[in-house]
Formats: sequence, C-alpha cells, structure tokens
Amino acid sequence: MSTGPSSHDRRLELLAERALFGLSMEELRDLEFLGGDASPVDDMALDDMALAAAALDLGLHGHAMAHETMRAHLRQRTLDAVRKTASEERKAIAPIVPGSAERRVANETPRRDWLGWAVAAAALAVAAFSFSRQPNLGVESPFELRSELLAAAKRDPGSVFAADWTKTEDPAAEGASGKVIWSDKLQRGVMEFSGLAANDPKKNQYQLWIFDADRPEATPVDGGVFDIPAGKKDVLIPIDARLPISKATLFAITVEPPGGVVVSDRKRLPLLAPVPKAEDAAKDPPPAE
Amino acid sequence: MSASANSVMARVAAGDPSAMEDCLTRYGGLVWSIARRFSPTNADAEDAVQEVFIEVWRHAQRYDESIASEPTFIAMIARRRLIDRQRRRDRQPQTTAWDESTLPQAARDPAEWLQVCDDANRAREKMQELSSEQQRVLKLALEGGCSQSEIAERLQLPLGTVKTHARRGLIKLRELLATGADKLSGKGGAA
Repeated sequence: MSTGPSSHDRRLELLAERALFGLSMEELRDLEFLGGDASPVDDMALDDMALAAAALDLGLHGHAMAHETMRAHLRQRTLDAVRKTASEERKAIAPIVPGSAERRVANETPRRDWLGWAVAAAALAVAAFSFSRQPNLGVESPFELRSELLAAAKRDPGSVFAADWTKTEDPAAEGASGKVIWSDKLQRGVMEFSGLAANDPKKNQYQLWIFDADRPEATPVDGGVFDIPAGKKDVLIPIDARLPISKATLFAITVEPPGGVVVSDRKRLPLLAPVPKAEDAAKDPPPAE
Repeated sequence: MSASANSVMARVAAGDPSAMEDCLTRYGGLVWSIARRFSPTNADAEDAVQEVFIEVWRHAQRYDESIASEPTFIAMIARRRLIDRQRRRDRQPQTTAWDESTLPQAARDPAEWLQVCDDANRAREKMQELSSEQQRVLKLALEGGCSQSEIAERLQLPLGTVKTHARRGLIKLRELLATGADKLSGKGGAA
C-alpha cells in the first residue's frame, strides 16, 4: 500500500469532507485504510480539520449564535439525559483503563484488510466449533468477569485494555456504543453494549470475531455468538474465544444466521473495535476502586 | 487532556457534579444554535442537543486548551454529531416544521464564550486568504443543512468543482491556521 503524497492528499481530502459534509460508508473505509495520526474511525477523534471547520463556523456565525439561549425545559431534559447516561455507564461500564481506548492504533488496525478476511481458509481454523452456543465461562457472571479484569488491570497495568466500538451504517448499530475489554494475558474478555439493536434468535444472532496479530487476517478467531434481548439497553457479554489469542488487534461483530457461521459473508457488520497499542494501555494506570 | 483547572471542560472531565450544569449554562445556546441549523424540526434539534451534550460529557477529557478554545471544541462535537444525524436522514432539507412557540428567545447580551473564541476570529480572518470561490463554497457548507449538490445548484457550479473548492478550501484554511499559531496548530491530530 502506497503511503506517498497521493495517499496523504487523499486522506486530507477525506478528513475535510468528513468535517464539512460527513462521509459515506465507502469513504469511511477509504479513510480507515489510509490511516493516520488520528484515528479516522473514531467517532469523536480530535482532528484539526474538524476543529478548523468548527472554528470557521464560529467565526462566521458566532455573533448570531452568542445571542441564542437554550430554553429551560430543554436545558433540564439535557441535564437529565446526561445524568442518566452517566449513572447507567457507571453501573454498567466500569472503566478498566480510562483513556487508553481513545488512542487507537490508527496506523495499524484500521489498515488491516477487513474486506479480505472472510475467505474459505477460515473454515480450517474454526471448523471444530459448536455452532449453537452462547458464550459461556462456567458459573462466573459477566459482572464477576469484568471485576476480575478490573482487578487484573490494577495488578498488572497494560495487561488489560479497553477498545470502544465503532459503529458502521448497519441499522443494528444506529444507537449503539460501548466497548470491548480484553486481556491477551488472561485470554479473557467481556463486551459492553449500549443501544445495540435487539435480535430475534430464531432469525439471526450476533457473532464476535477476534483478529490476532499472529494469525492471517483471513482467519479471525470466532469469539462466540450472542443475543441482545429486547428491552435491555445495556448488555454485558463474556468473550468466548475458541482459539488462543496471541495479540488481539481488532474485534468485529457480524450478524449471522442462528448459531453463527464458520465464514462470514460480512453482509452485516454493525461494530468494529480496533485495539489500542499496548504501550498506550500501559501508560494509563487502572483507576482506584 | 490539558485544560485549566477552572475550565468547564476540565471540571466535567474531573467529574465535578455541578460542571455539566455550568457547561449547559455556558454552551447551551451555542449547541442549540448549531442544532437548529442542521435539524428539520424543533423536536429533532432538541434530541440532537441532548446527544451532543452526552458526547461532550463522554469526551471532556480529550479537551486540550492548547489546541482549541472550549467553544470550538464543543462546536466540533456538535457539528460532527449533527452531520451524522443529517446523513442518517438522507439529507432531508430543512423544513418549516419549526414550532415558533418553541424557538428560543434571543439573549440581550452575547454569551461569554464569544469572548474566548480567538481561534474562531483567526479562522474568519484567514478565510480572506482563500479564493473567492472557496470562500463562497465554505460559507454555504458551514451553514448546515446544505448538501454539496444543493451548493452546486445555488452557485451554478459543477458538483465536482464544489467538492474540490470545499476540500481544498478547508485544507488551506487548516494550513493557514497552523502557521504561527498556538491553537489549531496541527498537533491536535492525535486524540
């Protein structure tokens, strides 16, 4: 892949386009592929192009904007919404490594050829899997698992990371957010979802795929199938990797027929989570409980 | 994160319980104003405002005052969220579905944030160094709610030309802002 001036210029063009008009899915993939020093797939990554657009917007319209006020009812609704979100996230999503997920591996994981992974060779790696299982880690609840990971992060900084989900244009992801928490060392992890669309298990199920630096990109490891129940906004799902993961680089969620598949056709790919660099995760000490 | 301890963003990031109230007091009008520009109805704008402030709360720790002013940071989050919402609506044009009774009252005095928008003032000044075509396209692009096709139609320009002017204009502006300035200096690339 060329990283010469033409790629650089194309990346700038896409960043400018994103800042002014937004990007189509195809353009977003182009931007992911081109990578850069700011994570292009990060919904809220700080990029100076977007800041320049915002600054000019304020420069042109700021005086008019500064005379507008927010009505009291909207102010209260907004404050309530933020407080509700904060409360839910505190309860459901304990930050394992605050901040680490924000520094994603823009130069590495987004470049991975996500389009090429689902070739028939994947069947060789996962053919022995059970196709009608839910992630199952024995009697341990997902909450207990998350607590274990939190404790591990405190004991061994950098051994556990958190990576935010990046949603695609798949309708199931429209209101989705959350993160994946994983430890290569412990070979354990948990996924947190908020607002991911509920599925009908008789029609389809979600399936996790884990990309490993030591495995071909074409053969991601099956991380298990799971359901999002109707009426539950926040869901915690343990990760059930069926093969050892040497160094996770990317997590991806697909929508598949009930029971999951050996090789995904990638027709529906609601969420991706590139993994932060190990040194970034290590820089952020785990929070005190 | 790098921000003065008394900045609203720093307080939000630190978990100060009253910080979001202050944030809404200070920037509610700003976000509301941007939301109105991008939204077809008042209900849609109100939903968008809530989404934006949730994002502000989530990402407050990323604010770095050496890169941008607080209003610019807030506006960036608002614009991105609203552009996303607009794309999801397939760029419905702004409609007349606004209920006049819900429109905001104009404040007598401008909000305080206007006084700290040094980067915004500089952006407006630097814009004069762009070509007249780039300026025209960027002004329409930044109004919100205008697709590239609509801009092409309004300016009687080919769509490809509009795209080129918009992209190159903003890229040039970013370069101009990075020249001899502390904020928006190009080091904001890494979140």
